[in-house]
Amino acid sequence: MSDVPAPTLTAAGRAGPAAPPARAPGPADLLRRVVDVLGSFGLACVILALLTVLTLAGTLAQTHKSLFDVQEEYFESLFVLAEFGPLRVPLPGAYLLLVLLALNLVVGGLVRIRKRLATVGVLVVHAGMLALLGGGLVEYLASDRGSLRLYEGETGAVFQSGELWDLVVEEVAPDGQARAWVVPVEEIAGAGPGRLRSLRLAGLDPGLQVGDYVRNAEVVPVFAPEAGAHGAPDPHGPHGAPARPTGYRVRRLDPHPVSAEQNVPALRVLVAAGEGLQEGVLWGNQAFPWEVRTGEAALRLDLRRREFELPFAIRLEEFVKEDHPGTRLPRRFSSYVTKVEGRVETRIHITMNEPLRHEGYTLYQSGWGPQSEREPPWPYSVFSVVRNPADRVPAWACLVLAVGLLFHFLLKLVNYARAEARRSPARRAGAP
Amino acid sequence: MIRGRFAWILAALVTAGCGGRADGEAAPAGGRVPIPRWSEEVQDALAAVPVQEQGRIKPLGTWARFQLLRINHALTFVVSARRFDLPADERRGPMPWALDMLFHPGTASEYRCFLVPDREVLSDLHRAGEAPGEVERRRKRDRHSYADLQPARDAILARAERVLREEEAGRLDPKERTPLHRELVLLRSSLLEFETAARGLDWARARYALAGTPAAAALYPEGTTAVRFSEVLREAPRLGAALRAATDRADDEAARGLERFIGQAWLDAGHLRGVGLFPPPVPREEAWLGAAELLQRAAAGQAVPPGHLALVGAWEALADAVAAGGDGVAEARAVLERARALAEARGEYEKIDLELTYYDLGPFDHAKVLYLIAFALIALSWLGRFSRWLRPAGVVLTVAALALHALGITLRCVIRGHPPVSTLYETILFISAVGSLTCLVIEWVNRRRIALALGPLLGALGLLLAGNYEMIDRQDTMPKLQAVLDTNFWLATHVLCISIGYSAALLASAFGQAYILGRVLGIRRADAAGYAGLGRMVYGTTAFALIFAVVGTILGGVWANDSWGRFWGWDPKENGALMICLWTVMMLHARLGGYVRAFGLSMLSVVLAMIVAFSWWGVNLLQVGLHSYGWIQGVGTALGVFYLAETVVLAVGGTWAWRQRRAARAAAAPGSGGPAA
Repeated sequence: MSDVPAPTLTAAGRAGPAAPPARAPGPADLLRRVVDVLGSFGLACVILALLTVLTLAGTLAQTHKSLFDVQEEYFESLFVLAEFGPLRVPLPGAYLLLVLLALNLVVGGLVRIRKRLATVGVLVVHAGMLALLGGGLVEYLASDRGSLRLYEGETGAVFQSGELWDLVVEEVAPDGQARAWVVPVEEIAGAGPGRLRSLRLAGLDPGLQVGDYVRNAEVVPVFAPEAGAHGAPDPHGPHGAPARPTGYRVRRLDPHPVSAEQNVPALRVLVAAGEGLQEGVLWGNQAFPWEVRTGEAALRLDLRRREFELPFAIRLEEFVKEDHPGTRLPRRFSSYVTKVEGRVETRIHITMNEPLRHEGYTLYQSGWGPQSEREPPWPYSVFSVVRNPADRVPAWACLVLAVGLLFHFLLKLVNYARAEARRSPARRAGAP
Repeated sequence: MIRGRFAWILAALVTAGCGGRADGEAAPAGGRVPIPRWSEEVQDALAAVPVQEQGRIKPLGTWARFQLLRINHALTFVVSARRFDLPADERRGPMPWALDMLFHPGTASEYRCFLVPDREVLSDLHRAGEAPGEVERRRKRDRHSYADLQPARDAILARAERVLREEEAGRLDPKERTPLHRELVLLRSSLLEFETAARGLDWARARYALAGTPAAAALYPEGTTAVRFSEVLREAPRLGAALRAATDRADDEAARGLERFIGQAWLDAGHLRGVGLFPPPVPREEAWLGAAELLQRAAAGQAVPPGHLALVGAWEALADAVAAGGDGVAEARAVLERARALAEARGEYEKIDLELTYYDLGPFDHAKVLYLIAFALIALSWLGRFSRWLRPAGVVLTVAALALHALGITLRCVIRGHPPVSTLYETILFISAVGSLTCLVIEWVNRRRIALALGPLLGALGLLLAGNYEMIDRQDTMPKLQAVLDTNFWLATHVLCISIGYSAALLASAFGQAYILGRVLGIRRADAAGYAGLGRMVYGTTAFALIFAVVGTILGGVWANDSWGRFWGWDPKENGALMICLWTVMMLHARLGGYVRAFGLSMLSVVLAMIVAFSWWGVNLLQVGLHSYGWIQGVGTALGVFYLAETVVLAVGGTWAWRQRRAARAAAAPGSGGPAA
């Protein structure tokens, strides 16, 4: 926002034109005042200062929270109780602030700003900023991201989210026909500890109830209370031999402080099977789905990381890791892959800073393993996969912003130099 | 494999050597220790010998520099005339020290060059009866010799290794090491590095007896009783073949004899770990070899090329000449010539001379001195007398300092083959150079002598900071880059833009603080035009900072998008850059909207400096995120002092502004006698 006409001050005792006769403010006045505020420098300053404070709080919070959690809490929210050491300060979240900033930019920085040569650069900058914010919004709403891990010789076309999970319900008929329902965990995350809720899936007969959702959990065996002395559960049977657990229970863990990918959720499920209810625990790390017989059919329930399908397949031909000579400092990771689309196969080299972009998806070289060995005999390569419709927007916005800023401030610099030259001819002459 | 076959004998020899005593020359008991003298010619020749360390081919002189820095925390130490045979105390630098360590390890072990920042590390051992009592009589922060520490060596290593094991097992957090643990781990590294280097040329001094090894003796001329390492190396393919043949025919005695013979040479050659002295004979290989690797390959059947044998022989001749009390000039030159020939054949010597020139020239040290003199001259010119001469002299010196500063940066670019900024150390050099240059440009435009004074001051402060950083970090300042950073395009665009943004923001803050302090202290109170000009400089440099901060930050996002698949990840370093952009934009809008004027803008610029410091250094202290590659001990304290100073400026400025406002209100109040509103 620049060069918006300054409001005329008419308060008593201050300079200003004579005030017209007072009249009751109408809706148009109210709207004008709202627009005034929305397009004001004051609002811009407040938003920018709050964004700075919020960014600081979100940065400091990363010392004890995972980035994913911080992002959700500070940068994708309307409000946040920001932590500054022991202090808790309520602040507007970045989502709210960025929406306000976009409005402020449009109203003050594009619509109401005076259009003349001196403000051309500012207009361009504001347009670039809006493009950047728009790109960010598109990415937030419409992008998918995950990772694809392939061993040499392996082909894959499905990538998995690191942080997002699904409840997958599969009904297998006696003739082997299967139908599946996928429920995002976000939809059932409200059924936390001690709570149960019914889950209705279109076309599925057995009633389902889910609850006791825990975001990060481990499953521990439960032993019969009488097995141990003094009533304490005893994991050992007679003569110290391992006892058979009588069941399992979910132990709630704190969310991982560094990486949300390390969180493994758990969920209690009740299935109406025949006349009774069957109860089970689903855990993200379980090896097989939980299977329940419901009459003739079988119901399989599983908690798994969200999966996305690529419109093409990738086969890892070779993974190459180069270290700087005589060290274990990596110099380059590279994957030689084949992109498979129907019968067409294309050899592609993916390495750091050189991703594969195709069909709106981008594959980046992001990791490798197993890292316990310097030259593993069966290495695997990990690709980050992103589908972001606004992928190239930031680069274009950067160009627009740079042009706008340079134009505006070069103009200012020229004017400043001229003014200085006029102001102090004596100094220019070098007189003390 | 030799290693497999000789497991038992190697274990015995390693056990014998693991006491770590730097043997070779024992210091005379009771008397003053004679000190070796190295001629300039020998030092120059050996400093230019190429070696490979940490993946980089560098002069031996550079290796010596950082080796001493890691142990001593400074580039020189005092050799006391009370302890050594010297007329007076003298300072010893990296190259003579390194040569002492390689050729006179006994003498080197008497140098008090092991800095122990906190005596408590050793006192604790003393109380446990594991350290000499003398420790208690030394200063809290003091230097000790290897010989002083040797009695406690095993206890120090054991304790430090316990800490490292606990950290590896996840029971201790490496980020939260106690000062005691930190010092223990550092002292362990220093001791091991010294031991490694002190025994690094054992192979060049040793002679290997042939008695009791007839199978080996048969390969040498009749009557030979002992051979040098080079001779073992030359015959290693045949020795290896003889060993394999003896093993095949189950001739245990012959096999054991050969194992012992080759094993001893292999052990002597294996001490200088991590430093490659010999370019690999195979062209496609990149990792340089140590003497032990040469021997291992030769024993496996790969004949050692003549050039490599000649280099091994040259090192032996030098060791002989030094042991015989000779000056060793011709031998040192022979080592250099042979090493250079091998490196040049691979095209790997071309930057060695340039690096030597860089360190010999010391452009940043000289620039620092010139900056300080320039600042002093300009400050004197403010007094009025001789300002006609002092000011031009200050300008000339500032330009000269900046030229040296730029030359140093350019030399580093050529040596490293990267744009000017790719490490934290280089950010300091670049940011201070840009700051000084910007000041000169501003001075050229407005001739107010404020930018002229700030230019050399910022340059000197930057180079002081860079020097301190080098001393604290104690690592080669030209390291190899990790994979994601190895891209000259993004280093030349994103990193340079961000660094220029940092520089301009700090400069804006410097002008702002000059404004605040000038107002508060009442300097040239009547010079309203001067203060208005200074206010415009705050505004102008803030705008300059904004351009580069915004473009640099977005370019960083574009780079991240290409490397990691996301434009913005709320990583601490990214957030730091964003905060600079947000705050700068806020400052400009606040000025444009009339909420602040020159004084208010200056106050906001102080906060801007605090944000820049957070983004530049502070986020590294958090030790989270993708950019956490610059954690340095001691930065936290410096940052704390900086924040305290800036807070004081804000408090003083705020108080002054509040009083001014109150006084103005009182003057304007009815009945105060002041002017009517």
